[in-house]
Amino acid sequence: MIVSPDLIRACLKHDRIRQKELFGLLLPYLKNLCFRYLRNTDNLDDAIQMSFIRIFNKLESFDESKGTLKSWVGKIAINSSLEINRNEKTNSSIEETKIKQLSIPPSAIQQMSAENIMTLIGSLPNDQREVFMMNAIDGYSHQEIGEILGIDEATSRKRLSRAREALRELLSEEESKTPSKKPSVQ
Amino acid sequence: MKEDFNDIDQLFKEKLLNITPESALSEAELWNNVQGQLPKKRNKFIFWWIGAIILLLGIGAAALYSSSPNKANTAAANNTSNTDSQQKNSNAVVTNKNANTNSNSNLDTKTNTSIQNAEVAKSSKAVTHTNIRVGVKTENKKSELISMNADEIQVILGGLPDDILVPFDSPSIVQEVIEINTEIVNRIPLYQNDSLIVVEGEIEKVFQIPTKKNPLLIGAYGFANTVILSDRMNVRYENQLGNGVGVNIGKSKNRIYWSAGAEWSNNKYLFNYEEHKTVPYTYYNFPVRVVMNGGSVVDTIFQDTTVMADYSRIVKHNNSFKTASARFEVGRVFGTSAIRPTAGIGVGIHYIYNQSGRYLMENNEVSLLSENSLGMKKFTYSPYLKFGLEFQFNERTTFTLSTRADWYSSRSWLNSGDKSIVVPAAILAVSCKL
Repeated sequence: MIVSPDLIRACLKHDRIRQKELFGLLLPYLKNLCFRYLRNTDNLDDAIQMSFIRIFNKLESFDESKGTLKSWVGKIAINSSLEINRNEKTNSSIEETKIKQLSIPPSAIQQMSAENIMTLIGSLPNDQREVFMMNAIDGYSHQEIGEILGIDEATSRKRLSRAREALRELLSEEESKTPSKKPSVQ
Repeated sequence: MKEDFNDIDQLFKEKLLNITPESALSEAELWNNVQGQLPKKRNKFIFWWIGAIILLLGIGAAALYSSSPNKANTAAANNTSNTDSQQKNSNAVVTNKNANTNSNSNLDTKTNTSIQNAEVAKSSKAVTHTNIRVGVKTENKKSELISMNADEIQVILGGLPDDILVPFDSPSIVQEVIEINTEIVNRIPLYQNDSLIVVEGEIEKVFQIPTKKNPLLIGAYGFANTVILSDRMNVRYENQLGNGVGVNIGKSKNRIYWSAGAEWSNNKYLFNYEEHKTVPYTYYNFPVRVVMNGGSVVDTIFQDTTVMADYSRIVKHNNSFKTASARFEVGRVFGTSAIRPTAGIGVGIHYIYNQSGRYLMENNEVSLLSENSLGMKKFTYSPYLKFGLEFQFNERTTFTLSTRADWYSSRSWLNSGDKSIVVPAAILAVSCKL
């Protein structure tokens, strides 16, 4: 994803054509990001739209010296998704649904579908899932995670550790149900 | 253990970063939704309006210049003038002028348009735009000329020098023409000081009535309007018909006409964005209007300069707000015939206050609004254009049919940029002079 400074300048001037160009460049990344952070993927379109509206409205505050555009828009998309999660009235029922749907195939983890992996991660408590996703998948530091979630770094580390432990247990548990297959993560 | 974690992280990373989720909306639909809520580029519309005003002024100035008598013709015309021009001038030709301007500052529904009937004495206006030809002959007598039929007059005209166009701006000639012959409207001979003055031109139907010094005028009007919502990619017509009626009363004095009135209308509009319900509401408006029509330049160019102030109130369905508005308008009446076109351009500035109710925006913007606020900006503006036809039915009564379109930028009106709103309206008015 290469975004030229010229494109950003044009977007700042509300040039619709260039804004659409930036939208097209960012869409696959943000779609993936929002999908991963949402508890209920039915809200995907809302999260994407909210993210883009905020990105375009706040583009003036983007400072290239403080980080890449990808990182900056990523934080906005994550925040938007988390906000939607918080507003989601049926949080608990969705979580239960996801857990019920959890069905890890007996084969190696590599053969798991993305959907099942999402379900697996979705079975983690919210706070652990968010930190795991931000740190392990999207590469945000604990300091950045702390800023996004409003927690201190130590808490972030603790949650990450618990998330990893929980995932490992979940994977082991699933592997133990399928003794003929060798776990891929060892 | 750390390696385990790294392996887990890597595993999930590889899987999750390659997910390509399917969204319910296509990319184009997503973009349309997004861009609909983005602030629009300053498209310099204000400069277009300024340009339009300058153009209008230019046309007015050009009309003024083109209708100015040249010196030679003025001399010829002056030679024919009676000494009773003062008397003619005082015999004011009064044309009713309906200026359809009203201020509703109410964005959502309403026509923002009504008519106030203004009447300003325009003593020299009735024939300003009529071109006539002037020629001179000495052999004919006035009595003979008056008795001539149209064919004979045409013979005389054929022997005249090339046409000399002068504006028909001499009240004395006008009066002569009207007194001598009101039937032959295209070829009028006049005789004076042993000279034949042949006047060719259309003498339009004008009304000259003795006017009171400060005539009282009353007016009534009705209007219908609709709403067009649009953004750049999507223009759609909303079947939101509104209607209303109004009355006004005022006085004309020293070329300034003032009036006050009351207006009622019933409209529908998408007040609740979230549920997309069409919410009807009633609108009250109390316009006060001043029309200035005096001075040589003002007469010609700013023929119908209007300053208006409105107070409006909307109450219904848990939504209410009040507005105070001011409008400035420049307009003209074209021609002097009994049926004549009018045009105007103006801008309204609106102050919205006492907002209460629940105005839900689309998507998540709703969380930004408090429950007791409609979320409108306190100040907004609405430029507009108007065109009309006015028909002077008799000496005292004038009918006006006008169309008018007000444009509201959603950006200027609402806190969220959603749609521009154009409110076209048709207005039928009658005004009477007492």
